[in-house]
Amino acid sequence: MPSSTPASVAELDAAAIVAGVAAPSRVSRRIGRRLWQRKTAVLGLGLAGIVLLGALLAHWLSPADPLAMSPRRFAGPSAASWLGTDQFGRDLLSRLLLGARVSMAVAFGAVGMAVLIGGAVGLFAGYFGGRIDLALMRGVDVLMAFPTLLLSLAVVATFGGGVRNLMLAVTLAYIPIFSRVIRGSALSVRQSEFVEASRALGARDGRIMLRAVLPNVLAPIIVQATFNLSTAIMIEAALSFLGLGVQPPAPSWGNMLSEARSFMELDPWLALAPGAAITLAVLGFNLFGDGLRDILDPRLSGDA
Amino acid sequence: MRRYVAVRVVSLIPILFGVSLLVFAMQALVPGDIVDIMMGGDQAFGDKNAEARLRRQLNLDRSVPERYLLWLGGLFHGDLGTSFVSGKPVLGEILRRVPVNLELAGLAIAMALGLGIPIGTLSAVRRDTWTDAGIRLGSVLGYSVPNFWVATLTVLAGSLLWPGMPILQYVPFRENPGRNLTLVLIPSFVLSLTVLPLIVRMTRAAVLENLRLDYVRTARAKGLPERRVVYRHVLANSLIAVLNVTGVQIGVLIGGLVLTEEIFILPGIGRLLLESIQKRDFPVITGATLFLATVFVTINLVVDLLHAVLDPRLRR
Repeated sequence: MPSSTPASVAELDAAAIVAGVAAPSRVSRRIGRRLWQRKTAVLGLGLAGIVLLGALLAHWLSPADPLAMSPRRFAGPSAASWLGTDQFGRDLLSRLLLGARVSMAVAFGAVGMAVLIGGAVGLFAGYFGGRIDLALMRGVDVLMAFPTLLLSLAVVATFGGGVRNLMLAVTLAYIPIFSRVIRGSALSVRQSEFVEASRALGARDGRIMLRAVLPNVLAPIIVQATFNLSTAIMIEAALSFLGLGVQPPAPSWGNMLSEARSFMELDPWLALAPGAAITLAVLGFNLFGDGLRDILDPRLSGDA
Repeated sequence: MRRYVAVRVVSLIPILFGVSLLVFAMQALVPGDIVDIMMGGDQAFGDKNAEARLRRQLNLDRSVPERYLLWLGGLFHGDLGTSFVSGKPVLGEILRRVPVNLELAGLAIAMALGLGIPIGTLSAVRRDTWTDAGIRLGSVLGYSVPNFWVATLTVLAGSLLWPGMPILQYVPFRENPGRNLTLVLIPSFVLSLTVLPLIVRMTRAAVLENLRLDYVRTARAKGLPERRVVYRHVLANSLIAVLNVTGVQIGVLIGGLVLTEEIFILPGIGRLLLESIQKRDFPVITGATLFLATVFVTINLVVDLLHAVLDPRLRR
């Protein structure tokens, strides 16, 4: 995008997005059309959409109480329970739906908070530079020194599991990722001519950050956030699998898979179903993210 | 070059300092009384003498900053504290398990590179054919499938299809090298799948990018056979990008190790960490976390330095 014209069409549209203007801008319509042309991105959106809908509507869609035990243990698929029942006779489909809810809550919660916190850190560091940058980025470096899963693991090991702590654990691990993405963009935008122009016009720092810098970092943030949704699903499942996340009897895809390990020779389906659910959800966000990246931020594309 | 190495190594110091602070802070922030938590379920619970000993051992009679400095001082002497469960020094417990991790991770990386580089190159050379499409689909699927699910299903398949499959056992390399390798091979392969897809993808991207560069045209123009152009020139130049990705993937691999060790019941640091979490053995939790983070940043530094050795443009 040419930065020499202070108010190119794309920038105005981007600013409209930030300002929350509801009218469908030309940019977002164009993005939508180009996304629609990519079959894999549409497939990804479909998969992610199904998981998200399942999570949102879990209470209406569930045919049975996900925690209610019954004597019908290890039952195969039937009209009453489409996917059969588990070792306690609980309805598998209902448990998977509630598991989707946990998964989506942790993923969207953690990515949302990490975008806000990491975004603020990166924006300040990149925009003001100097000592502020140095101090903030040192903190980010320390968080980066931990492998993602290890940092989340340490947090839930210390403060206990549960959805809220899982969310915090993943947020902490994701803050450095978003602050780096945004800092980089903010650094480059800061030196651009249209920021200089707005400063010359007397715009204050806060306004410049909000109206000039933020719209320009939106694309990389959206792409990064989509991929991080999929890794967050994976981390939540892994921690619950290890017994450190969502505690039974509350279902999570991870702890369902873990519990199934004791019975899987008897009923392999119990180990297959939750893993397949994780795979489809992660695949959905990954494919959608690939499509978004190719359109929004072609420079990041790994496919030369 | 020497200056570059020195600057990079020195820059590690504040990071490691911060890591120690964070790891310590977590232990200090544990909600509730740490002695109660640690002694809960233990026979010594309620024994005032044992409790007092533990409090003294953890320096709980001192302020938090004092405790941090004492702990940090110990680190410089290689003293990570004492395990509450085994009563042994934490560092010894960790080091005893390092060979398991080295073997697992080393084999996994070797397999991932050994498979990933040829597959990625093939994908690039056969760009936009069915082979390429298949490989790309496989790599997207590959990093969407949770590795701990693959590991679980491997164990399941082993017990259903091949009851004699050597799995869920461990024999140290020194006792019986052949047996050790056959036991570690399958877990290592499953672990390698965590990093394989990205290595394939990066190799493909790097080879494609290099194929467009001028030196390739020169090499072709001077009549080199295509095979030689790709394998000798392009691949050599693409490996730098692959090396970089491998460094980033070490973090994924360390996370994967914890899960792999848990599922295949291998006595590595990951299992030590999980066991100490279950037993609320905080000195070990802290020590193992610190150890793994230190290994992670050190490997990343080594990869960066290697990168600088291979690519002189990076040495400023």
